[in-house]
Amino acid sequence: MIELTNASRWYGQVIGLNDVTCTIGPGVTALLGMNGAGKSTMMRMITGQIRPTTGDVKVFGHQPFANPEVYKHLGYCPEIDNFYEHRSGRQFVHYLAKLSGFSESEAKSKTQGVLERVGMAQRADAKIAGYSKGMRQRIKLAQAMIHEPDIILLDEPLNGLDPVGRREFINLLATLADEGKTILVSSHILFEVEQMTRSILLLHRGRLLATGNLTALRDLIDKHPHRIRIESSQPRDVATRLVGLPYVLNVQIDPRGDGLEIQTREPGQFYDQLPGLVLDHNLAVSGFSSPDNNLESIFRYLVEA
Amino acid sequence: MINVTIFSAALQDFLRLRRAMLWIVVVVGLYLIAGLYLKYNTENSPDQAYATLSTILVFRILPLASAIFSTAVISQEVEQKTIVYLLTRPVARWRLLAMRALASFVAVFLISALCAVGVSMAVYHNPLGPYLMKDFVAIAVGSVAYGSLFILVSLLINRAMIVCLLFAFGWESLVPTLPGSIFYLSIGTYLNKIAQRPKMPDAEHGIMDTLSGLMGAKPVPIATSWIAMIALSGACAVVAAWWFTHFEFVPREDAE
Repeated sequence: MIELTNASRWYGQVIGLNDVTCTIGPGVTALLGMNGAGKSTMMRMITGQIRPTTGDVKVFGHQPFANPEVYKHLGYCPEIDNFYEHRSGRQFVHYLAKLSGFSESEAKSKTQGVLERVGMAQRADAKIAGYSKGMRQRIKLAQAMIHEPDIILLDEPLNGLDPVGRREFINLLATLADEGKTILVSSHILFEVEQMTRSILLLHRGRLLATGNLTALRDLIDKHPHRIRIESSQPRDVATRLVGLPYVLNVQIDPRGDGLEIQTREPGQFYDQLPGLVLDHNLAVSGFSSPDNNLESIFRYLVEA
Repeated sequence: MINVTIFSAALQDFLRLRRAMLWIVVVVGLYLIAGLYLKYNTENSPDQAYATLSTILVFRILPLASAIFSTAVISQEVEQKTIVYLLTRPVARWRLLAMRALASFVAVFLISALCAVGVSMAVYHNPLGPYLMKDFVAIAVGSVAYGSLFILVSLLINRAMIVCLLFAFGWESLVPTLPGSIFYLSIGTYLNKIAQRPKMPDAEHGIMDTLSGLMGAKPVPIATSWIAMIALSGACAVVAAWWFTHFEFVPREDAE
């Protein structure tokens, strides 16, 4: 459905996307990358807002730039948070429904339907200027879905949504994927992406660094010594207990005395046993976190691999 | 159907209450200025006074309104980043431009025509003075001519509003009074001919007549004026549509 062949895009001396070749089909695919990785550039190319400097982009076999035939089958939820603030959410979605070719009555019923689907039917008559970030995200999603496109592109769609909103949104994406839609979601947060899909495109500094299944990436992370930081007022006591565990490779006490960091090759096993250890030995542990559970670590591992 | 949607939504946007109120204040202001002018210039006949006031007030508001609304057609959408919603709909770009441009022409015409009615009221104590219909025709032509030119400029360069305002108030005020044939490069010259203003006696030229470009006879036949305006509008419209269809219009600050 979406094909990029050696697609590159330059902004003057700066490269936004560098020789990317990939095919995106039905289901949810995540476009993963840090800020400035080229996600939005790729989205803009697929949505025909910009042309590739070299290479080719095709959507349903057509070049998308300024191509109304492509836009009949494509919905786009941009990252920008800009609207016609003086209009209500309903007016905004209704207007775009009519621009998609629906008659007045069709546009009205489609607007009502899509607003219900994104959970905005009760709140859509207020002016957009008064909307919260989450409401704006829902309206953006509604306008992208209004013409029931086969392809939906969502640029950082979870920004500003509360946990309930995120859950609803992720469920909605799953439903759309089950309907056979092609959904491309960009994000720079690994945790978000893991909840949406296993299929990823990993962009880094404009290059497509990896494609395929997220589980493979997760395995790659787990092959490396995994760092876990433990917050404790008595880090030496905790270190004494942990250093004896066979899968703990290294323990380092924070010089500030408020915690310690361990390295392990079996993070799953460690997480399973940590609560028991804390309770059995009455250890003063106030929290733990994983500095490696982020995109930067993935990129570092991929570059090292 | 889509054409009507684009046109009506753009027109509603251009003339929504807050903006319309501002223009109504301008119309009232022009009426008051015209009244003051008449109070202190009693030697001119009403026709001459109308010609001067219409040219110096109404036909200055015309390019001003045109500069404001023409830049709202596309470049304001780009600056406000809302262009993305329009460009990712199944609508040909030239059609989007044409319908929004048409809405801006109508908005400019309505505002300028109201200004002309205000001046007519002040001069003739009659909203439908003897030269009003001719002025309406010239205003309609001017709305399209200035609009097409300014829309093209707004597609070609950033900060087009400044350039358009300089053209409207600098070029259009200065060029018609310059010697030689340079007045052919002023839209105002042709609009004055199309409006068929009453001829000013040479002895009566004052600063207002100079400012309004009425000084001296311009050897431009009406037919030439019509042809020039149609050619300018058509050429600008075609180039603007081609440009908008073939070039990228993405929110500028967003470019990575």
